[in-house]
Amino acid sequence: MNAKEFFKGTAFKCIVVLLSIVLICGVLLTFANALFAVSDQERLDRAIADIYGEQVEYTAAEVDEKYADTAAYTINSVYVLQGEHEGEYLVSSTGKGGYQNGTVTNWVVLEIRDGVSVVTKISLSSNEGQSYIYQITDSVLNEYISQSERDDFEGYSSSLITGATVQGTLAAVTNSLNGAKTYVDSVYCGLVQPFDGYEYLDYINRNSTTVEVSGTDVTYNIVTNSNGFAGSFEIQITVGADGAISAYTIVTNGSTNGYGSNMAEIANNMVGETQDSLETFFNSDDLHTGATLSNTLCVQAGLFATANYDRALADYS
Amino acid sequence: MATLIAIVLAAVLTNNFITVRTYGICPFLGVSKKTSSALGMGVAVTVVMTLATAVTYPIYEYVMVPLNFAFLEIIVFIFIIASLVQMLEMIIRRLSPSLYNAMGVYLPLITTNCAVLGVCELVIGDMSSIIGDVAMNYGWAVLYALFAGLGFTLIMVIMSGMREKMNRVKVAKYLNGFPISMVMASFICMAFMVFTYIA
Amino acid sequence: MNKYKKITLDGIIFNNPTFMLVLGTCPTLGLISNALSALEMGLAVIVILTLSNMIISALRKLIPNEVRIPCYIVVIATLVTLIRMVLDKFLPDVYDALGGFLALIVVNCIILGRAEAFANKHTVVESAVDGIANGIGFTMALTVMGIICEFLGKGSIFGAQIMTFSIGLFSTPAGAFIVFGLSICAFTAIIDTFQRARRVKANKIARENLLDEGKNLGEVNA
Repeated sequence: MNAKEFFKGTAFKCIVVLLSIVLICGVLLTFANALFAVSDQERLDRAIADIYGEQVEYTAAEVDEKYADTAAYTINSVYVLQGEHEGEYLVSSTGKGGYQNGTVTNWVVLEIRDGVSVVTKISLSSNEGQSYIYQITDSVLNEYISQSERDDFEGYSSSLITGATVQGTLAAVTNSLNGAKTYVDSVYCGLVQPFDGYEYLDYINRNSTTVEVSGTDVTYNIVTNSNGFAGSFEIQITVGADGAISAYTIVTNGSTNGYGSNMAEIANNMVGETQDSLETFFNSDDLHTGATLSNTLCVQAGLFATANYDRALADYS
Repeated sequence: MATLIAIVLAAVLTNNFITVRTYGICPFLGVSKKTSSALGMGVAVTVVMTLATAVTYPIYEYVMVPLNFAFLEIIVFIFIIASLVQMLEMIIRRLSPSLYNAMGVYLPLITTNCAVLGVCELVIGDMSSIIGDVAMNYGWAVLYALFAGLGFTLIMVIMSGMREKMNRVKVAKYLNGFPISMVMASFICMAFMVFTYIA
Repeated sequence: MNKYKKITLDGIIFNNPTFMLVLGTCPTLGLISNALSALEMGLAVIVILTLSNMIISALRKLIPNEVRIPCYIVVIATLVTLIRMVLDKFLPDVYDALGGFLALIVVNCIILGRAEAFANKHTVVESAVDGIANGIGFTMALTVMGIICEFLGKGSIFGAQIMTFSIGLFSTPAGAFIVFGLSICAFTAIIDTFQRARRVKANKIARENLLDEGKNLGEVNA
């Protein structure tokens, strides 16, 4: 077959027709794409309109790094609502310490009442590895909302939420909500968080923790955040003048059943420990026993108590 | 290892292409009269699904997305699948006539099988509702396609067994054919529903 | 005009793509748990089927027989991509509801089937009518089954709660299979009865005519 025959043959016609159809379609779609492409801004508008059920006006606020990232949560973005919803804040907050150390990200709407932020809407947006996220139903979220409207509200605790039995996922949701509330409280309400400037705050629920001083003894009633399977602990720790722990009592045990007894032993071992020895222990492999998550909380509470002895003594006497 | 198990279980049981996603129903109802043909079709679909994912996933992730023409995905994918099927048919015919007799006849039907395009589209999208927090990469994508294909084959074989038995039974006039097959398919789906939440 | 009537009736009833030919089963089973998404899917298919039939019919003299299938697929894939872009831009809710099945319209046997069986042999207008008729046949089938499934599964129709009960099975593919199977059964039974009645009637008329003729003949003979 010579070249001339080839150009007259069916094969050539087939190639030309197919190629031209592909080309025309490709060009057409390129134009269509330029015309119909959905920008990121539009997707954000839609996501926000979904939460409110209507189009709303908002401006993006810069996230204040100082309050944005802790061991319990990360604030991803903050939007200040305008127009009809003026005075409301929309925060995207990722709560950590979920099931298998996964996370839950929520959209949280907060408004400021009497100088304190109150959660008014919650919308689950994404999660990592939380296969039981479907248990976090609307009624569970509503319980979160109604809790924040109580007068004696001092930050969320997942043990107070009923309706879902998935501790890990619930802990991440709780952390995410506490994060959003703490952020808005600190940045927009100008509230100085309790224990500002203290060390080892990552695992401590700053709103619920209290301190008493008698003589040179500082007694902390520490409430921790939840950490994965481990729920919130309430621990009473007394630190003496030598900077060592003189009493360590677990008031509320957040451990999952079965690990509870291990914790009693830990409480005994804690007496006499100082900041240095706890730090060494915390960074060693000994921490990783069967109940690593609970251990972390207990040791962190001890670290918080010993490291801040001087400050607490000055602040609370 | 845990990821591997999660992907295998999700692909074969909890997110089975036929019983949960309802992809690839045409061959499921059309080519399941005999176990031998159902098995042949299942294997052919599995091979094409795996190969198609192995080719389309890198092209999409490393060529189309960086060069900003991801919007052409449907055309590109269907073209790749069609050429792949054509090539596979030629290769099998040349290399092994007996294999061609067993499996080759099903190949031309596969181009327009939702399961193949479905798995290619699935692995480039958001898989978090199917396999949890696994970060998708090339290896997992191909593995998912392979086991999704095996899950498909499993249901095909179960269905063909039921239909072979059904052939000996007298069925009411209007229920014969597709309707009774669908009712049987429904029973298979019901049995597989118990796997929905283990992932 | 009779020609178009026949094309329309064939597409909607006698060759209904869903009930009589059992094509396009994947989106059917995947979407009938919700009447609204079933209807939306049907409308998307009407648009794509009509346009693809028209384009393929217009190009039928140009496309060589050897590469017709790849050409059809490219045309259909382009249309699907276009519809997907338009829905994503203007109707994001519909886009989300149809999910993966939107892209899978490309491999919906109805569209390629009509291109192969009808559009490449008929004029543009005929093909357009055929596309609309088949699309309507598909949409009607999906919507009817969608209403049944949604009512049994959630007690609502098109999202409006009518009764407060739910049979979870009908929101899953298992229920979709049962409803689809029994719908095919009912549809074929109705059409069959209808056609038999028509045949009986036609036979009766023919026989009466014959008898009349016989009588006339007899009278003549007498």
